[in-house]
Order: sequence, then structure tokens, then C-alpha cells
Amino acid sequence: EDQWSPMNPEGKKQYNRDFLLQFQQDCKDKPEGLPHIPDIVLDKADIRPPSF
Amino acid sequence: TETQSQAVLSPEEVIKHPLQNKWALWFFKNDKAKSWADNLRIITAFDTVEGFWALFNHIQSASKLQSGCDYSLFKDGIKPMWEDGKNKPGGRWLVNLGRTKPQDVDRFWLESLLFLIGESCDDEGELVNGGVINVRGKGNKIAIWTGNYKKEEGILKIGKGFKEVLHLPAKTLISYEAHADTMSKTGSMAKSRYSV
Repeated sequence: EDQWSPMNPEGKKQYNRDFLLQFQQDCKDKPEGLPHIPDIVLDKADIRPPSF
Repeated sequence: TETQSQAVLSPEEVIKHPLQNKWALWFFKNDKAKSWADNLRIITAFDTVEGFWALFNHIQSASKLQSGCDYSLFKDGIKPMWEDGKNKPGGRWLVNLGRTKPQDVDRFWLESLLFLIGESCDDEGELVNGGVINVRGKGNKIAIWTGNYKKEEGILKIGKGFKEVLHLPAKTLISYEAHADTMSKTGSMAKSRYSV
């Protein structure tokens, strides 16, 4: 339906879980400025797709 | 550094997908030596799909947290406590997970996060405030927090949507408690306002 995309910037920012899951693998860079909370905030990406 | 190959990426890869709302992830660790408020820490906020995954891929999975810890994901500006002005008039849809297997706990929590950031309850989105997972030895709990519990139609839609993404069997009822009731409850169980 009328979903947001680079070519449809006015589209609805509503995404279902299958659409969202496509991007999990690519996001390996650690976000800036995370607090130092040992054993909670990880240094290396730990990509864990949901087990169906 | 921007490499030459950057230029050939399709728009899809370069442009991040904006979320309808900005969300903040909080972490709570039950350290008796500190006050409740000091035990609550904001990890970070994000407003794109890619921002969510970069964060999610860099935090410990819920099932590995110590008993007494919580993760909370709330719209930016709303604190994960019933005292917050946006939470006070509302309540929560509560799912008692009991002692489910770790990968199920993680799956339930991830489905809840995607339910929130994906705005699955499109027209009820306004009512959704956030979600919490309480990791407890005696049984984990996941809840979706909403505003104004009197908006029955919207609250019921959110409950049904939440139950659907968790693939809970129809006969498994989940109940909605208004914070006002939970605060003034006498017994352990606050009376539930709705159930689906």
C-alpha cells in the first residue's frame, strides 16, 4: 500500500515485521554514544534473527 | 571514510528508513544499593529502522538478563514509569510468559519491539506509549503500555494486534490493567479492565 520509500517520501511510515527484519543483517556498526554498561551494551554486533 | 563505491549504492541502501516516531530504549537493573530511579538508565534513542537494528544488534538479549532487570522501549519523551504524565491515565496489556524457553522469550520481545516501531496499530498509534519486558526468575512478563484506558475501542484493537504478532492461541487470554487500579490494588492481582 502507500508505504514510505526513498521514491515515496510522503508514504506511511508503517512497516510490518517481515519488512523490518530484512534490515537486521546490514546494521553492524555500533551506534555512537552508547553508555558503558558492561554485559548489556556489546562492543561487537551480535546478530540474532528470531528463531521461527 | 566515504569510499568511491559508496556512489553506486542504490537509494534504498543509502537512505535510512524513517520511523513514524522516535523511540528510546531504557534498561533497569535491580541494584538494591541504589534508588529505583538511579537503577533506570536510558541506553539511546533512534528514529530509523536502521538505527533500531544497529542498537538491537549491540545489546544483550533479554533472555540473558539477570532476574530483576527490565528493558523498556518508549516513545521519546515518555519515561517508562506509570508516574509519567502520558502513562498515568493509561494502563498496560500484560502477557505472563511464565518460564518459557530463552529463544521464545527473545522472540516474543523482538516481535513486541517490531510491533511498536512498525506502528502496527496504525490508527491507534496515538494510544501506544511503549513496551516493557520484566525478566523475573518466577516468570517473565511482557507488556504494551498505552495512554487513556477509557478509550476502549482503541485499547482493544491494540490488544488484539499485540496478541496476533505474538501468535498467542485464541484461548490464551491477555488482560489489560489500568495503572490507577494497579497502584491501589489490595490483592496481588489488580482487576483487569479488558481482556482479548
